[in-house]
Amino acid sequence: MATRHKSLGVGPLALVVVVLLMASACDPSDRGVTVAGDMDGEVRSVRGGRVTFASDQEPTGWNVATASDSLLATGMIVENVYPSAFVQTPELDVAMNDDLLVSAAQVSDEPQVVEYRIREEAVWSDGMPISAEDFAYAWRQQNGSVPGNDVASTVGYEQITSVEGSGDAKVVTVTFAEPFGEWQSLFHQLLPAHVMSHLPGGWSDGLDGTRLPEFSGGPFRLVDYVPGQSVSLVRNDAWWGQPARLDEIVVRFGIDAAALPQAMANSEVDMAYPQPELDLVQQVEDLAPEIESQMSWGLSFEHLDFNLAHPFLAKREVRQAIALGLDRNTIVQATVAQFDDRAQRLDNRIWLVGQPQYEAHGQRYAGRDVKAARALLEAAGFIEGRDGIYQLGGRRLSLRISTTAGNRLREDTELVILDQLADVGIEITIDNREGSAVFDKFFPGSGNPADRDFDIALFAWTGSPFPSFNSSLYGSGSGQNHMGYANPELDALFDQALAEDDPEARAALYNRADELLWEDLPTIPLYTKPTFLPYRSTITNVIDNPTTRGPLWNAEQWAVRAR
Amino acid sequence: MGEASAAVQATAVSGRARSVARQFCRRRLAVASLVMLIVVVLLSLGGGAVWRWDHDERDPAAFSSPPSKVHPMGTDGIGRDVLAQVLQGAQRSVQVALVVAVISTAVGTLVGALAGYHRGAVDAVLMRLTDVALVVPSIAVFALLAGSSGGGWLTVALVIALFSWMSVARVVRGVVLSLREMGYVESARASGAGPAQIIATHLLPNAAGPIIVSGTLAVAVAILAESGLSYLGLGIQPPDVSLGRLIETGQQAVHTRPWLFYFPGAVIVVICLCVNFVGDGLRDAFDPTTDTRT
Amino acid sequence: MGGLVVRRAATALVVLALASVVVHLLVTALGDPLAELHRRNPPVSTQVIEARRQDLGLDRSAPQRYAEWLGGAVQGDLGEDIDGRRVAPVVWRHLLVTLRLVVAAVAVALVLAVVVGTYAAARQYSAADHAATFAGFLLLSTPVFWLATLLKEYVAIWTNQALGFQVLYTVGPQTPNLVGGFWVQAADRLGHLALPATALALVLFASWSRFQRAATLDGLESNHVRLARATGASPRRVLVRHVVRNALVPLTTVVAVDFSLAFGGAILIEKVFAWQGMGSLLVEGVTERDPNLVMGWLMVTGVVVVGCNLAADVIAAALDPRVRRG
Repeated sequence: MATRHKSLGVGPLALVVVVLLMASACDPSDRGVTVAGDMDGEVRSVRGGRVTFASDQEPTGWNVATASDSLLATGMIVENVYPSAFVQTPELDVAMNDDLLVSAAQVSDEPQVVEYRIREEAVWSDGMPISAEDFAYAWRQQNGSVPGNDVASTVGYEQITSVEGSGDAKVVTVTFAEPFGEWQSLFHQLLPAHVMSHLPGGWSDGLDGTRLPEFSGGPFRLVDYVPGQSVSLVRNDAWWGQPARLDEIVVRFGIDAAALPQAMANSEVDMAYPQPELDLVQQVEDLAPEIESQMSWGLSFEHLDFNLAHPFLAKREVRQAIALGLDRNTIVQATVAQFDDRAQRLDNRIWLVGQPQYEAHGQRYAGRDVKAARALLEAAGFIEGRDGIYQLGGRRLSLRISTTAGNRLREDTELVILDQLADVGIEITIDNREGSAVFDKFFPGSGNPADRDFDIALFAWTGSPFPSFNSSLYGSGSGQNHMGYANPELDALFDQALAEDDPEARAALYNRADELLWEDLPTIPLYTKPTFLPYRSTITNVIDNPTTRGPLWNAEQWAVRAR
Repeated sequence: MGEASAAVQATAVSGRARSVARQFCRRRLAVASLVMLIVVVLLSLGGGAVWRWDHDERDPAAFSSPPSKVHPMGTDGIGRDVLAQVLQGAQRSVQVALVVAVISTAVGTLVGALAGYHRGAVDAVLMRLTDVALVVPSIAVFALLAGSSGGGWLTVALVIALFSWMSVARVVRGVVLSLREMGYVESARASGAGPAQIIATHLLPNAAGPIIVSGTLAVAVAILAESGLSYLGLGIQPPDVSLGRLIETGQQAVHTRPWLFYFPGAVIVVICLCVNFVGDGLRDAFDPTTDTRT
Repeated sequence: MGGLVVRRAATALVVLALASVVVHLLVTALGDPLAELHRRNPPVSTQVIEARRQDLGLDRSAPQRYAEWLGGAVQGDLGEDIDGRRVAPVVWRHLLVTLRLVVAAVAVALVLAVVVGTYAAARQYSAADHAATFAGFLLLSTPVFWLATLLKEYVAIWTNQALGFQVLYTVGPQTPNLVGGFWVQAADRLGHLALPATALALVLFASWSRFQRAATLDGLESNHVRLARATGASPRRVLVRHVVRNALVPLTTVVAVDFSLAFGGAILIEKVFAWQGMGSLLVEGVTERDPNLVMGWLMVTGVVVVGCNLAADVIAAALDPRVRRG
């Protein structure tokens, strides 16, 4: 389904949802599949059945490309309702959506022109054809030209100069002003132009709150939204592909991980996508054989970020000493490895373990070398104090580490780090805050770097097959570069990669960028978090998609087997 | 004369205290609870120093181990001894509860006495203040705390106290309202005693029963309040531990590592049960009619 | 009587107004509700954030925002939350969920408390009395969410397995999109309500039964009961007609006041059983720093709390002649 070398792809939406992972509630984690669903032929013909999927979050609105409503959970629910040009595969790769498109190709390099051919039979649920108009609508609304429009991201759409239809509007020609390598990320989860342009509130507010989209361009459509309780996905009879076999998927809101095992044991919930934790995983495993589960490589990864405005952390030797003093393998053992035995240290911050482009660049800091760490500090002029903590100019080498309070994996990580660095002669104090408050310290609302109030930050970013967003994390002067890191060589690499349309060359450029980051160590990646998909074993063909697309990606193939 | 009557009052008070103590000692359950409570409090305050494990010390040989000889209450996911954690948590919870009890009783007594003694506008203002404190969602204040200060235990205690003085105030106000019309108060007033003196020497000693009882019960209420807040992720913040936090973190493990959930919960129940029995014993002891009943 | 109600209602309004000022200050102090947009990736453009800020009125000063909110609130308009939802219907929906739980728990607890409290008093110092006392103290000393977790852990699944079909549920107030007639729906809701309501009822019952026992004991010693007994009325008749009836008066006041406390317990129980009630709404409002949501929450719970206190006063006045006179 996916060609491996094509690593560009699905869109800003997917990325937008790549919000930081706050506390546990909205951690988008994803995984690479380890268990394949059973595709037994006899079940294939079965029609009917109902599956209840528990979601921690409830959508706040249904246009996921707006900043106010781009929740990860919403993106997963509408995945089977809004059609996309390209999709992310369970193998963490990107593929053309051949339900929607016959072909999609770059037909000219200068200027960059991409031509999409939409399937003749592709229609919205009201019978109107899916057409170039819908592509043009997505571009017009998201290119930043409509004042006051609520848009989660304009990346890619800004670069487009025209979107034109031909051949009954089934051929779409998109012309770019500047080259945009990740063009496959565009035209994700399309909305019907003919419906949206007549909705009161339009793009920004037309699908707000309780106003459920009445259209569909996928195998399911949304019905029966009861705020605070549930929404249902039922078969879309106008769908031109293989019809969904289930009658209904009920998405129930507000069921957190703590309530989940009992709800599954008590047959109130059939499937969920919680953040894995030791007890949760064990409890679910105890429910076998009624409940099965899949654990996959995820795309969200934990990392340490150093505030380079700190006089000590501004010294590369100090950051290197920290990296040498840490045993990231032990950190993995004390955290994710307790429930996922394949868990391993992460040695790349742009391509993650499980992605085909992954290369390990952090082997220099694979083990622990306390002696070398101490030597580095001493070479930088630090003197060991009587309390065993290094000092420089009378100031002790004492640093704060901050993360989201209440997130057990992170709190445990901090404790291990505290111990390990104490051996080096670095004192670590813990300064955690509840979810949004800790991120205010990292990314102050004022945007003023002087207001950043942290020494070492511990949280997660989510990776993607479209890594151009990394320039806003590590690029000089970017608002999200809260380390205050600046490296012109890296900036140049990011610019080059953004325009590079050959996927392999692009992957290599980003790997080179990661190597630079290992030289300077503004951040240290720790480990990726696996995704965890428990489901009732009577449901067939369940295959996790650990990208932001989520486990409902192939829901039309699910069926319920009688026990 | 004011001094003389104060002296008389003082003798009366100490005599009363003896009689209350005598009454209290007749209640075996209350006495047993008091002894138990003292043991638990001493253990929690000093036990951490005696016990071989530190609450933040990790045993690399025992991740998530069930209760054993080495770890009588087992260990958590990163090898910390649960008994040590429970001791530390109990210490925090008891500290919080004591601070809450003292402050909320003091504030409640002051507000109630002033309102009851002065009546009229003072009463109206203070009682409306009481109502406001009842209506404002304390959770919002705790969220603010969790987001700003990191929730040191003293701050948490102060805020719980800020939201728990109201019932004491109402009780004291009621008692003072009924006492202020008594003859001896009238005569003290006639002899030129000021409000502060009358409240302190004539009214409060007679309201001592309800005040001490509600102060005692406030300890249990504060422990439960702290645990509830911790369950919502507010209250005491890590790396500090409290019994409430321990239950909260152990809640998901009730099936898989039950020792993480049951031990801290049981300790809360034991402490609160003892406090409640002691409070009940005190209530009976202060009640002048008890002699006829028992 | 009417004068009392009017006076108390007027002061209640003042209390609510003061509380709303305090809470508005608090929510403002929690921080910028749009701060989260700054850390999205890819970054949300500053124009979009500014447009949202204007939309939500966050660009105006805090006193100005409070004045605007107050202007709406007096007309019953609680404004929009930061997700663009109307606050009033959202709060109303959550209130109904919580009320269902609280009312059921209060009803169960009240019946249990009267029966157990009266029986314990009538058989003072019997084994049953001691058992009831101990159980009451035990429940009073147990964190309510700990108790709720135990109920869910042991009662729900065991019961269903013992009966062989689904009777009790562990999440939410009802099964979504349930097909069936009235009885099916009713059974489903009761099955969802049973455990959370029991957890809350047990805690309320603990203090109320103690109260009922004390009131009954007082009643048993009162002069008119002695008189009734002396005139040869049967003990049962005396107990029910004279004692219990009189003991119900103070209990009613306590229940009315505790009704608002029950709301607090419900917040914790809702979390255990994944109900989307007032508890989850407050936590959502506070974590998202959503000013109008928290203010709307305050107004509705404030009215409930103040209303209950008012009701307690009125009931006390109506039932107790001394208070009425005074």
